[in-house]
Amino acid sequence: MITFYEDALCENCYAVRLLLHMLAVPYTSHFIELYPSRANLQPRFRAINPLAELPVIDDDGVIIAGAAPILVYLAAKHAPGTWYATDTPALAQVTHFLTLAERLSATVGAARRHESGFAPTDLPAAHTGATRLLRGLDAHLWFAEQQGNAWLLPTPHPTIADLACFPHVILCEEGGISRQPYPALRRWCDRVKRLPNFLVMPGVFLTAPPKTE
Amino acid sequence: MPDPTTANLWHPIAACADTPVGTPQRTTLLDTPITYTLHGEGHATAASSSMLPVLIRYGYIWTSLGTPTADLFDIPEYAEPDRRRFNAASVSVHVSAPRAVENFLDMSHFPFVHTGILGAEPHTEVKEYDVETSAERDEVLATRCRFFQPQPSTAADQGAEVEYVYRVPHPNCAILYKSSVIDETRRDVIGIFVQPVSQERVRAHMLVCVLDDRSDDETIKRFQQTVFGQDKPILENQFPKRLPLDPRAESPVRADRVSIAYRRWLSAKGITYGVIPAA
Amino acid sequence: MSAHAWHPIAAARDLPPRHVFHAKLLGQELAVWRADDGFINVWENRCLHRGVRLSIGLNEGQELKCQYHGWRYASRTAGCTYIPAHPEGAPARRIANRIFPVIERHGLIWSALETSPDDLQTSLPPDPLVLREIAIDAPAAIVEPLLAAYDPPGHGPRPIFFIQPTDSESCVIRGVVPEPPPTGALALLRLHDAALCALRDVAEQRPAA
Ligand code: FES
Ligand SMILES: [Fe+2]
Repeated sequence: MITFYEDALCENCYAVRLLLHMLAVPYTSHFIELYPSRANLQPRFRAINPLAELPVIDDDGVIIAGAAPILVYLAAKHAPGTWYATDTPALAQVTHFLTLAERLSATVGAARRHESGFAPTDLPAAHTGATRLLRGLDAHLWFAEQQGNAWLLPTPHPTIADLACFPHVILCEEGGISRQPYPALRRWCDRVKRLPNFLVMPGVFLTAPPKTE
Repeated sequence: MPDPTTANLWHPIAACADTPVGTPQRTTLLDTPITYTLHGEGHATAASSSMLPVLIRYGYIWTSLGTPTADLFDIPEYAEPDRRRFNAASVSVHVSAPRAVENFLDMSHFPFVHTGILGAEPHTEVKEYDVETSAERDEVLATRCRFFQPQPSTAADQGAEVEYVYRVPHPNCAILYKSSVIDETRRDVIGIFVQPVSQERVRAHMLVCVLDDRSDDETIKRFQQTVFGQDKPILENQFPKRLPLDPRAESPVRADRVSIAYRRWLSAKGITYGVIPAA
Repeated sequence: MSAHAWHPIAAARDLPPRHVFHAKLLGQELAVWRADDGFINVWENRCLHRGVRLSIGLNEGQELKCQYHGWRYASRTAGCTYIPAHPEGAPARRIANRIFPVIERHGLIWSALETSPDDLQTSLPPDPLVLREIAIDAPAAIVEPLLAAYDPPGHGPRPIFFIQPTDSESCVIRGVVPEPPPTGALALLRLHDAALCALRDVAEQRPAA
């Protein structure tokens, strides 16, 4: 059984929670409050992850820390070929978006943590960086749609690339970054929300069910 | 400049439990930067350009930019020894303080915003409840507020019709009394104490003072943070951010009687900070 | 930049079924959604009840549902049809949202802030190639001269450009290629996209990345 160390309001934890639910992998949850009490800095948690960061999973003794490595671990173990690409170009593309998600966390996510009163940051710099990344992602998805693709990778099934980026995009407005200039990103968010076993976190709303003929 | 009523209020600026002892901290109240220090032993100091009055109450540090004309409102239940009492969350929200308070007084959003926790379709009806504005106690009171909830609290295993009482004893603070699932003769108390950072930004501090012998603090915090985290994006998508006090500005229905009374009470107090006064 | 004139506010394909598009024109926020029967609604982006943006609401096909208290508004009339807090009574008829005029033409969605502008006159073919919109953090007045000097990459056909003034500080470039070549549409879209992004960098006076 997987033990999942998470915070209800952390977007990186949300990415992992989404995949756990979409794969229907059972787990037990351990709440580590990041703000304001900083329970992640307690020795009890540092013993599990010396970096004192969330998320962390413990899969019967295999401890993995960080959203991207956990997504890779879970998808490669439970859903190779769908959630996790295995052919050469797709593997590189997944890695590209996992890296991009980290950069989103450092800009969009930093702005959110700042505006929530959790951790101060250089807000103008965070916004400038966020705009650059969100514009790029929006353009990528617009051209994907042009080619009949719904997801970040040109695959019929979504991948962990989508789940890694989604939390940052869907929570960006909490960092004072409007999604209004990014229509392709807004449509992609609707598609992610319609995936089976999707679940919300605070700050995320459901969308309407798809049109049935 | 804040109106005199707002300036002379006690305002919460931090939860003691989340404040390191002996180190000066900074915050903003009514557009004014404030430095405060918690010295331990229930003593704190605060200053802007000059020293400010300070009060420690309900686990929070309170201060005022003016001369507080009244003592802080009373929460008698806070003194009961068998209660779990702590700050469940301090969250910044891009909205005015009265919008945040009004959201706290509202039951009809439960099925849509707190789906599966505090409400669920098709149980959307808001039954008739009573509202009074007491001149003597200077507060708005809503009683007999009943609503079906799938998971009323961390101590509950199943859904139940829950009865609420809402008290607004302070323009930016509201308290909710909710039938306890542990002891039906007593009530859980949850308070929202809103710190107006500016007219359109707040820090909302949430006090829990509950009877729950089953859950640990973490579980209760997580529950409250989830609930409040669900309200936050609604509040941040509300326009205008300041609360319009003109009764024709928005479209209230019967379920909104407490909000109508609250807006009227703010008008009567002459409050202009964080609101759009009626013409 | 008249409130009485037609302005493009979206591309036709920005409105897939069950989606709510978030538009902005001359400082006015709009919730734009296509009903299941194809009708396009352009509404003020505020719920009449407590002011929540309808662009975060749910497009349920024939009605738009607000996220806060679940009020429903009907396609076409924007009249409130259901108030869940009072499931028994019908809502008062006067509760209807503000609607804006709309025309779907040339692959674009057009609207105006004041009602009944003259009919939309353009010399465009019905189905041109619509470029990706480019949102720019600079006023329309700065973008206009840059667009006038736009040199089509690869010396291909020159697109027709419309500038949608979102507010006084920002705008959106919407371009269409009237007679696209029979093949290579995607490559053409990419060429113009890259050129327009470079133009945006100039307009925003940001060094190209
Ligand atoms: S604000 Fe839209 S239903 Fe209440
Ligand atoms: Fe709420």
